[in-house]
Amino acid sequence: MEYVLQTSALGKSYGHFKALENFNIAVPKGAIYGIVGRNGAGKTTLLRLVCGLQTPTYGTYSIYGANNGSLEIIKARRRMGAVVETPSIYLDMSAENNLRQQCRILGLPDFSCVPELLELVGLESAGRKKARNFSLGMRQRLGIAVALCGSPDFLVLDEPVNGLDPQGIVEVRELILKLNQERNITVLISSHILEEMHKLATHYGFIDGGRMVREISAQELEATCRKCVRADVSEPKAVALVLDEMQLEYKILDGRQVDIYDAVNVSKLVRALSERGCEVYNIQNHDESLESYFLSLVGTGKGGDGRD
Amino acid sequence: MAVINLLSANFFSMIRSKRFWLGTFIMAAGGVYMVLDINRMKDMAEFDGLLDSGVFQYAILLFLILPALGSLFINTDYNDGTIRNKLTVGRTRTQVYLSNLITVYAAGVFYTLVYEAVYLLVGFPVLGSLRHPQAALSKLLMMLLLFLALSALFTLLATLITNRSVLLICVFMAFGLILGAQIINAKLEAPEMIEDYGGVTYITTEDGNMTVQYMDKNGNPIDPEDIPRVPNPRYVAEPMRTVLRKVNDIQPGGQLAELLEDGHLEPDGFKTATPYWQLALYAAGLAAAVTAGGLIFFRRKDLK
Repeated sequence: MEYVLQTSALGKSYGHFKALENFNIAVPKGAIYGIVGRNGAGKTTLLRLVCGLQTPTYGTYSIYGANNGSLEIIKARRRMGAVVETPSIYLDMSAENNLRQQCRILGLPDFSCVPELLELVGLESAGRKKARNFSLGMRQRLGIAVALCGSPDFLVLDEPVNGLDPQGIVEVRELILKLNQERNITVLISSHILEEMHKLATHYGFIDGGRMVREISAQELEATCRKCVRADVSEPKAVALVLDEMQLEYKILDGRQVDIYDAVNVSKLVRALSERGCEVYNIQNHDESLESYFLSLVGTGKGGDGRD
Repeated sequence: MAVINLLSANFFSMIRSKRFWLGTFIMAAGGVYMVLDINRMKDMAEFDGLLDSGVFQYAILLFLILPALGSLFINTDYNDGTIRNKLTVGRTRTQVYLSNLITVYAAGVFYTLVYEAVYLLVGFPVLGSLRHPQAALSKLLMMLLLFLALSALFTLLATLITNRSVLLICVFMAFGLILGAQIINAKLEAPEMIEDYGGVTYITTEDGNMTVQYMDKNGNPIDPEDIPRVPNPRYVAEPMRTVLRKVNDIQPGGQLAELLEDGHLEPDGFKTATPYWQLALYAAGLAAAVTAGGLIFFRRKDLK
């Protein structure tokens, strides 16, 4: 698999405070990679390092195979766009001029991409309006448009829906999906809003206390969090026989619990198990949400450690 | 090439800034004011060329305006977060730093040209032509080098201090450099020996008038011209004397005073001027050293 971003035991300290510790991440090409973590888990610190705003205390990272210490990283960064923390836009310039400004920074031969980008982010009617007068959502979209100047292959977004109203959230989400699906842009997003991430990400990285707790693909996560009926029984072997006969998909968790993934007629199941001498103590729908999965990974300690 | 791209973006930002045009207006107005002021004073004082006398008076104004404009310009990148747009797409910190320095220095050169153009165009019909055009040209080039050193100083400050207080810090720095130069020059002017007035006695004569009697150590009256001379406690001796002279020759405020006053007063009351080539060398050296230091700090700086 080709990776756009990889880190190797990356660390960042501010004085005695360790914001990132031996952090490893691998962002596959074409993915929407969601970094999920509490406030202060170290998400923004990671993005700052990746964007070259700060230097790691130890460890390395590579973008498109170019190591952060090498000269090639400069070329690799030209394939990047980013919105870290607040949208980086000149408030006293119009949306159009903000984009032109970024075209100049990139040395693009002309400004032909400007109308297209404004349309892409839905700001075509506000192109001449000063960014100072934009709503938060509009600023966010303009920030993304600025990041898209120069047609990057890799987009880094830090909490892109933070503070947006529901409509703004939908617009930004659709924009990210569009960029990923139509332009094949790899997106790295940080967020602490799990529900939102669930609607976007193809890969997840769960981060806590400056460390990567688990990397998992959306498919794997889906399987883990799949809806099922969970039964507490006395004889799991008997359950297996019955469920095989009924041609139902299931998974035996431990000595007393079975997850059944297909729709099941509970009366028939209980009767069949009873006939084989197996008692059913409890049976209930089980639906592990992303939230509960996250909490099971990082624990329920409140708040972060101020790493963002 | 990357620096040119950054400069193109910076110049676009600069010419769109109201502050920049306010500065331009102030420099142009300063040119007109100086012509009127010299015209008003021409009968009261002696000038070695009326037009020549105001050619460089803009420098004090620019010495204060440029740090204010430049620091705010550089700070906008931090304030709006737009410095991230430059670094994320592969522009190096060296390129960003140098392009900022060049931009604010170019604004200083532009302001100089605005003042000179207005002053000479308005001044020529009113005050006549320049008496020493070659001297004016070489001094102008020296002034431009001085402003390069000043630009390097406040670029360093504005790059390292990311909040808006940098405006005040840079303006205070400019004031401090000017004031510091005046204080140093005043100290260095103090003569090595002064008359000992300890033996002066005031005597009231019979008719009630006051008279002054000069005495030697033994109390014998002496002629006023023979008053003994004693070391001046305010005299700055070597090696501090050389150190302070060098500080004033190197720091932009001292260079400004040197150029505007055509030299500095020595303890004997005569004026001496540090050669332009020496001032030019110091200004270029200071600009290079400060920029090198700024680049080292900026490369290590964690940005948000």
